[in-house]
Amino acid sequence: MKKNLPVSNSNDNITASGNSPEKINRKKFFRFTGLAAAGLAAVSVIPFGLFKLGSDHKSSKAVSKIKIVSNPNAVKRNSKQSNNRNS
Amino acid sequence: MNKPDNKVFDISERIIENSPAETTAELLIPPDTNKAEEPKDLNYWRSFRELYKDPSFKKEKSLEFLPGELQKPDMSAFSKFTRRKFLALLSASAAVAASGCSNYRDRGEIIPYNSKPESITIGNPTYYASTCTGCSSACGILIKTLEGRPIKVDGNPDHPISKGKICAIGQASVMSLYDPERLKNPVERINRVSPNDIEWKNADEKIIAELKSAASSGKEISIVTHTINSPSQKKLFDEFVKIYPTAKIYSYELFDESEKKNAWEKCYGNKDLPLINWDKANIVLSLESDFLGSEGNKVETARLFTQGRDAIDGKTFNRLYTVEGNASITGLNSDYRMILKTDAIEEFVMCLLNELTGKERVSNFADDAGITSKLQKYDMKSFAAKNNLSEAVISHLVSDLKKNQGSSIVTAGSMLPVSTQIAVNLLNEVIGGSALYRKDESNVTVMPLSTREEMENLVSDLNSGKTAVVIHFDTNPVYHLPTDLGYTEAVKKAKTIITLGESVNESSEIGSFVLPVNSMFESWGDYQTRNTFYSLQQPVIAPLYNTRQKEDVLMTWISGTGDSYNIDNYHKFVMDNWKTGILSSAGTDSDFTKAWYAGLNDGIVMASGKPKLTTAAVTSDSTKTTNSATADSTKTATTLTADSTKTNNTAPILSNTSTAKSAFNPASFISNTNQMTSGEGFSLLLLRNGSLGDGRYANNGWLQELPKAVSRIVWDNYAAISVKSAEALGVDSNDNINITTSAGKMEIPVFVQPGMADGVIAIELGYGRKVCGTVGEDAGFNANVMMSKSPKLSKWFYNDAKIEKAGGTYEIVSVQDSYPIDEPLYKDIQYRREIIQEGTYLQYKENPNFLSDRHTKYSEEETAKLKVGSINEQYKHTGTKWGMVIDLNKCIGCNECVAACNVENNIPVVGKEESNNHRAMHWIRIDRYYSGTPEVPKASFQPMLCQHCDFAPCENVCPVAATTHSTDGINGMAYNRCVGTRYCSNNCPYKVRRFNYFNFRDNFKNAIQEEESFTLMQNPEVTVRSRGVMEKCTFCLQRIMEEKQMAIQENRQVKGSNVKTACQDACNTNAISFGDQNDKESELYKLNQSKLAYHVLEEIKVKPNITYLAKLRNVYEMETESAGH
Repeated sequence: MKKNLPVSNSNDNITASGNSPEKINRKKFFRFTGLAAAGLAAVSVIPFGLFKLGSDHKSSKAVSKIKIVSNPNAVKRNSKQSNNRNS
Repeated sequence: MNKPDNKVFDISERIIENSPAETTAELLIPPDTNKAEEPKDLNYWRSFRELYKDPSFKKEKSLEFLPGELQKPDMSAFSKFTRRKFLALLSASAAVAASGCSNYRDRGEIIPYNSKPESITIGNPTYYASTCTGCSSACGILIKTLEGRPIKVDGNPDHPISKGKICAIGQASVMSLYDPERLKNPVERINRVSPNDIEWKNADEKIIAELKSAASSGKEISIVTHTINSPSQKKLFDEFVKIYPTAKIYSYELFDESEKKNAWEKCYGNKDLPLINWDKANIVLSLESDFLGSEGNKVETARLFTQGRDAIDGKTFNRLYTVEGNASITGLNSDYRMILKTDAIEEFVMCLLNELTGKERVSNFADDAGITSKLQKYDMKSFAAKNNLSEAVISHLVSDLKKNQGSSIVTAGSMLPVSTQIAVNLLNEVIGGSALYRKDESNVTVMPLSTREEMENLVSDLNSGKTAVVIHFDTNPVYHLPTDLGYTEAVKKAKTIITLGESVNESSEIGSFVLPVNSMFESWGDYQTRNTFYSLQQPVIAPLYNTRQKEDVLMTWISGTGDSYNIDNYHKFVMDNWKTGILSSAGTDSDFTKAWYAGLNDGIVMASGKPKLTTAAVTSDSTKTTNSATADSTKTATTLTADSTKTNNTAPILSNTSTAKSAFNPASFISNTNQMTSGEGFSLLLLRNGSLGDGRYANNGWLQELPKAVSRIVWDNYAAISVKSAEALGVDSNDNINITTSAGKMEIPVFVQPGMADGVIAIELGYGRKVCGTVGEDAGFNANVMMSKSPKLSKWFYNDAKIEKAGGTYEIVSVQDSYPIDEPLYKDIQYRREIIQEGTYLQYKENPNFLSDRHTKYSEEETAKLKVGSINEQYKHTGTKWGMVIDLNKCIGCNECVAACNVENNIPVVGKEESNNHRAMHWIRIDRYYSGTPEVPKASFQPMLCQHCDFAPCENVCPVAATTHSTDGINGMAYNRCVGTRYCSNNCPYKVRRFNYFNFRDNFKNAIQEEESFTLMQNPEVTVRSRGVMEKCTFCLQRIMEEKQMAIQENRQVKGSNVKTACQDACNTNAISFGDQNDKESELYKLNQSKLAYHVLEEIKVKPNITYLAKLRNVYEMETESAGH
């Protein structure tokens, strides 16, 4: 039956009627997205600070992660208001 | 039948067109309901066309779409806003919103401890007693840590000096600890230019080689340090000198008491300045001395001074006279303030001495011919007339000093020259002020500062090539020392310059090695500033970065090999020093260990007498370590009395252990010919800034943004001059001027300061740092260049300054608008609106109800008529109702409460630009009001914070109910409900709400506050607010919750006095009280009932829960109605 359908009933026509000339090409879309992602990654990953000349602290190598370790030889108090003698 | 479908079908046509038989057969079937027919299919039809079998209908049925159905619609008739566009915009806006609102950085996963340290309970803070090394005062502190992170510093309540209080520098020190711009690794500056990271061991080896080479070739090794007030550090320096015999120690401070000490030596034969019983003084005369704001140990002095100023107890209420050219905190808090050009102050003292000895015949010095003959030429009357001083006030002063002999004291500013200090020493002898010198306690000098001559020798040795190695021992002499000393140029001639420091500075920029050192939170130490006790310093955390304690670095160099470093070296050194010296009386090793840990627990060890550490049960994580002696928490420490004479074996400390008063030598006064006379030029005062100190905290944003108490200016220093001087020069605030003295020249903007003496310029030091980190660099102007190595008067005071207009302006920012105080609209507005209520002490003594008597009295009937009911029924707070009382007699406007609030409540630094936009985020501010004239103003200071009104106007207008009232009387904020309409701020009569126009942590200095290290500084009990949210004082709700939890645990009622807000904790003068207003046994309740109690803007009936106690001025004159009301 389909082959007997009039030309006006073709799906091609339906698609063509809704196609906006402003629509971005799929290939272009992926190209732009990829470039943008690469650019963002570059900005966030490349340490541009290295290229700056300046004070000593800037030249110091980055410290990856700060670790908090309490001092084992320190003597703590139980509370602020009173020292251990009173508590 | 291919007719248009839209034509109405005519049934008559169909009947005619079709065959009659077919038509009639189908159409004319008579329905015979009675006849039984054969069952057949029902003929369903939907239209006549179908019923009559229209051919066109049959044709149409074969098509899927009707003709015309697929015709393209007329697009021009539709909206241009297509579905595609809509979806594109929707998704774009969703993406923008998602990215814009997702500025909460990934903080990583929160995981529990695999092996929880025994001493840590998650969420419960722990406290460590230690010592602040922010300045040479060495105050005792308590460091609050949460899961190991130091987050708050308060005074140690057991410490004899600080008594639970600490200054703004100590409060803000946690920001310096977590400063992301701290030095993190050792740096070698090859050719003193290009910095390169270097391993500690390599640096140590290279430096040791340099030291050995210098020592063997007889070249000097110069160690430049600040005040040495640590017995163990002193011993370490001695050992260093033993190993490297050519080493010399030089110590300096930007501010010291050299003028006072030199004068004291001339008068009494020693340099042991006495401590003063400020609390016992009835009359205090301050001569250009800011003892409440920046001089000496202000924490202790302010506390003692205000103890003698208690209107509620009524036992004592001292009277403060000031004579000054600058407008200081002390001056603006005085009862009588005489404005006098600074270089005329010595003449004033001579006139006063003549009044007392020559005319009033006070003291035996009246019979000393040498003294009287020297004084006879000074006449107070003519002096007062010449300098426009009030004769009545001078008469009161003379009378008071005469009547209060033995309970009066005169103090002179540290910048005043020796000659003035000698005259003041005599004046104190005349009025019996020496009776207030403390006999029970005295200052101790572990090692005196280098003299002027010694510093000049250092420079000449550098210039002559005698010095090979210079070690800056956590100092910055390039910035601090007078320019004309020539240190900066001279030090470059040394072969090796080593700078130890927490961060970069001007001195490290010219060095060969820059070595990062531990902060005070990561260091061991002992300190002695008084003869009665020692303070101990302990590290609460391991070093955050690849830093070492500076004493440890020295120990490595002493050992002669870079391999000898151990993080515990200096700890053991201090313990050994105490074991063989200070605590040698402890006995066995075990007893010493217990005593040592008891000392660490308390933060102090008394040299003798009270309190003895008899029952100190201490807990230490050291029970887990194998290399150190353990403290047994189940046992008690032995009785301990430290032996102050056994500080160390090699170098006994120079202590003023003898409390017997030496006799005053009148010859020091009589033979003093080098007298200060009034000069033609401007008097230039170089002052200490109360929050930045000597500039070493310039990179601390909290301190930079802390307003100056008097001018309320942030982020800059300036040249303060009087109104008339500004008019004479043709300049206004922000105009640049050139100042020239015999010592130097600089350009700086002017600030026209009410209450300054004509012909006086006051500039604060500590600003204008060029190398200190991004926060502090270029904030303000470096006025150190105005200091001279050999000044005519003193290092901080010159009376030959010349000023000229420089042209150009520089914007200085004040967080409180300066307003024309002499214009009718603004004049005394604080009194007319009853924001400030004040009277005189005499008024109060005569009629305690004088405040309420000022108001119109109504009969009961009239009162009933006047009573305006609220549209809301008042909630009855039957349980706890939180409230605060602020005593304006004790508040000196020092801003230390502001600093404490910043730390406790995670207040961000907003920077100069946003401060200028009135967007500073401080939850508490100190309003400073002037009254009187710009030339002779009076000032009132008033802490202003959320008043937690019962009928809070902010609550009614919030459209999303983000601000609501709790049953215990707290006006709360739900941050994540707030949508930022700012209606609440608009409706707040006290203007205490703060809006986050930006995410200020991100908006300031390239988001430095978002660095990882700064996030460790945050108090986890307080929400970190972000952009678009309103915030304000919460009465430290987290502390209230802590008390509620404790009450539940202990099965008791909440006790108001157990809660202390951060501002209350920090207030040196105990001006702030907090607690449960319904607790009739509490101190707060008593204060609330005081006759001096009032509420700000009472007439608008919002029923605030902060009560102020009216300010009393201890003056003889009754306040006039306009000034007092």
